[in-house]
Amino acid sequence: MKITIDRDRCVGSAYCQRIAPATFDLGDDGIAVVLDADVAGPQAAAAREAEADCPSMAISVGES
Amino acid sequence: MTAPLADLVLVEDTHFYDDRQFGVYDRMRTEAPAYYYQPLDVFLLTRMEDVRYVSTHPDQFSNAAGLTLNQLRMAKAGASAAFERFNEPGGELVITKDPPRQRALRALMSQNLTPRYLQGFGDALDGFCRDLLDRAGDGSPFDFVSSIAAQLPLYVAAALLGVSEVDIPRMKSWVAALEDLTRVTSAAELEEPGQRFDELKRFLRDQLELKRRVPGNDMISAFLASTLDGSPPSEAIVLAHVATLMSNGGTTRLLLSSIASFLAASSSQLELIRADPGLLDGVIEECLRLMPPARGFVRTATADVELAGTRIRAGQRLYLLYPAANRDPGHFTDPDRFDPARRQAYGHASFGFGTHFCLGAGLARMEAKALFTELISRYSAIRAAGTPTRYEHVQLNGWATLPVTLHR
Repeated sequence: MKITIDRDRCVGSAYCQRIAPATFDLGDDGIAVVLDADVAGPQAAAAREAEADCPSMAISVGES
Repeated sequence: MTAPLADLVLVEDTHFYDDRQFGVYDRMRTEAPAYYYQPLDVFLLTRMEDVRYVSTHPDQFSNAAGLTLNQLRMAKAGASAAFERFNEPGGELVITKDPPRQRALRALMSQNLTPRYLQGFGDALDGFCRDLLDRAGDGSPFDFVSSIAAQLPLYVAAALLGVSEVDIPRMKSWVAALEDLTRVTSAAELEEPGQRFDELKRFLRDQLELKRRVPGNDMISAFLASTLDGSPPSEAIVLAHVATLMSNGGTTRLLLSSIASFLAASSSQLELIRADPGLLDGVIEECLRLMPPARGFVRTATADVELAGTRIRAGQRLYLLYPAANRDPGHFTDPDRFDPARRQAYGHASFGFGTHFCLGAGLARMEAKALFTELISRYSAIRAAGTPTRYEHVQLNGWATLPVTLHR
């Protein structure tokens, strides 16, 4: 999958890290980073859930 | 409830916010999702999608012209100038700004409130929780708000700021002063909390000086070492943000108390969490959803816009009513039900959305989790020990007193 984070929108809520820990983490600067975009199955579903639940709409999940 | 909505929507009255408010919100959502509250020229938003839209479009909706209903009321009474004494020249505060400046100010604080940074305070936090619960005793009634919920955020703020525990009683009175400033209804009432606020500023200036001479692993030292516009932030900006950090103990106090009251109301909830500690996160989120510590925030439209089928002119205000959005049946199934396992648990509005998303959210959740993990490890039951009293405040939502007993 292609997963991008808009650094200008990210507010460091860490929801993505909590919902899809295999895919997202927070960097030391408090902004989210993509750990692994090559996720499938339940982890891919979790990544889409993180996209929907991000409080500042900073995540974009698409097909590669 | 067949009275006209105008007779029922009394958002400036603290007594409006009892259990009847939710029936009024239900009507507003269907009859007038952008309800025009004429006394303060503000549209009250009760649907989640509208609250979310306004919050995530700062280019259309500004934070710079008032954030609370009380500020709108004071402005209407011509009393805004009286608040100016609290603003240092150049003392910009992140919550009153719009992007792009807001992003730069936010970056000053956000690095020091990341989960990674906060993890370093985990042991200290656990220690505070143990100390506070040690004092709670076993079986005898006490007020959860004053004994525990009000104390923990103060100890945490002191640790984060590198302030000595000796200064905590004074911090407590300053935090109370900051809260009192948010509920004054006349310029005359500003005087007394204003003096306490001035003391706080003197204290913080001394702290800044101490940290300049001997930096430590604390947020004040981190502020002094950071850059804004290529140089260290001005003392006025540091003061404004440190004062904000201290005062956010108020919303945390309200959250911790609301969790205690939900656990006390349901005799089985504590046992369920003991059996499955993973449930605690969901419990905390449902408490946030059903009893948001900050009830709402104002935004000002910067251009004409249509929202919820309503035309809003540039300069008019909107009020994001979190307790209403959090029970929007279009967004939450069976919204009045306390359900820690619900799928949409984190989708509430209580920390806001968008660029102003609560900077303290991670810290608040961390405190709640630490306190109640410790409480649940020691006690099998928390019970109401009398009638709680509501905090009479338009913007802050929760208990003023909550008598309880804890049982092993």
